[in-house]
Amino acid sequence: MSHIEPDDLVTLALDGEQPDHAAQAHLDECAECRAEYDALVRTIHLGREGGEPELEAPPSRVWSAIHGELGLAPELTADPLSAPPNASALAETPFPAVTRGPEVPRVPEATRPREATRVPEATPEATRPREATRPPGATRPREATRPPGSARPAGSRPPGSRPPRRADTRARRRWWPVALAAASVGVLVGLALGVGLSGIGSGGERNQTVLASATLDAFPGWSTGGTAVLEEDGDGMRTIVVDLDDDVAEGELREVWLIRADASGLLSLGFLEGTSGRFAVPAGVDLDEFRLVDVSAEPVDGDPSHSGDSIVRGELRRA
Amino acid sequence: MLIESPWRADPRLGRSPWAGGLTDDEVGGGERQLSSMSPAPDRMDDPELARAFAAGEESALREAYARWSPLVFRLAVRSLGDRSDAEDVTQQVYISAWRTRASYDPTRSSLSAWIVGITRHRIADAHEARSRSRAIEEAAVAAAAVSPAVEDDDLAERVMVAEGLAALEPVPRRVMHLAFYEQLSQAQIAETLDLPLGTVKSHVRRSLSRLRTRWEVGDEPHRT
Repeated sequence: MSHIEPDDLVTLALDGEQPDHAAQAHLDECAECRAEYDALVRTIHLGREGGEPELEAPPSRVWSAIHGELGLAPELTADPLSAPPNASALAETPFPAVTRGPEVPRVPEATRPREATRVPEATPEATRPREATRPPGATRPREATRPPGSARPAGSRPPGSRPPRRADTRARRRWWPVALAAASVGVLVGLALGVGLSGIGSGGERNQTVLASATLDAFPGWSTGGTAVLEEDGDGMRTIVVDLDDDVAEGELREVWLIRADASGLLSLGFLEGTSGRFAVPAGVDLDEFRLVDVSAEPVDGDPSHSGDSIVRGELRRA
Repeated sequence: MLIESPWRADPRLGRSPWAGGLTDDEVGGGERQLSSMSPAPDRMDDPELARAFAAGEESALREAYARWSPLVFRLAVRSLGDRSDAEDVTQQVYISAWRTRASYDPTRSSLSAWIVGITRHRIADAHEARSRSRAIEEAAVAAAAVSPAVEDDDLAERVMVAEGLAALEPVPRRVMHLAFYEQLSQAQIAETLDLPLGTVKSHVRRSLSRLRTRWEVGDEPHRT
């Protein structure tokens, strides 16, 4: 007995129409194809129905109880569903949306000062503010779009993972002493970088925190690579810093873009002069939506659209 | 909007400048592949996380909690109608998942589907515990009010499929969006995205296969 081609089964299932006589006859007598077909139909049905738009995170005491009962490593104490507030702009897979509780700063284990590990991140619900307040102009609150795997463990990294960038470490070391001096530990943990930085002084270039970075890889035909770093200052103003390894040929403009992960839309941030530039990211831009950084070669012709000739591109990943 | 199409030339911005790390052919596709270095747990795709979980890496347990405890919690709340009981169930699910991780078989189901299976068992246990602790009359009333038999069983599967959809590479994800939500035929998708029909069919076939592994548990009869 010859079976129905996999492609044809897929088309049948996708069309949602009744299989023709010959196909139906085969499905009736072939259990294997029938099972395949049914599984495809069900998968398509589930996909079309869509997931739940909003799933609520269980309270932190649930993780605390699990952590305690299993005797997990101390660096895993923090509620996995509380993410650093400033990283909220950058999603991993943006699904499903989860309402979040207060947020815990993510500090790589290596750079966290001794005293800080005593910060009771597993503080019972009552002492931690439910809604972390944000500095003005900060990124969009997490509640709307929470990606599943995006909560970062407050501590451990598996062996072989990239060590934190130098800029990261510098920025984080700077605010910890201020944070520790804060009166309420619960507030400290909840407000994290925003409060710490605004406590140091006025916002501005001096008080940049690195939130994310991207390795910019060269497109075919181009030889230069580069990096992009997302910074946020004390006032919540975000900046993308682009650094290309080599200068590119003169006579062309180099435009910097933020592109949606599925390439369905893009925003221009401006033009790059030389190999390095700083580009302000407007407050309304959701960086978990527009997470690809792209630099394109543009002719000076007054056409604002993307030429299609990308020099480098990379995806922003949280630091 | 002043300009109709942002793209003057090649609209296939789904292509990436790097060739390495993708499992599929030159068109690219499938779930995101990461570098050969072990990624941080929150960037692992499902099979990698499942491996780490089965291997006893605690950070994988934590990541499994981050990804799916809201779903587990929701399933429990809906069935038991009580947040406190649902919290207990969520706790028990993850504790027993960790303690029985040796019995998790990655070839039979995805990690999320396995955890959902445990969830259903723990919910059933909770219902049973309730009935035992009540008078028979009360038990009958309680069972009628929150009987799992009438609840929507699709929730967990829908959530897992949606998760799989979001984990697809940009181009196949766009293809599946058009197939699912715009109800376009594969030929129409090919025209809309300016891709060969064969490529679209490839994306659909591979993507459906991946989505299916999210919810399917081996050897169980398919529900219609």
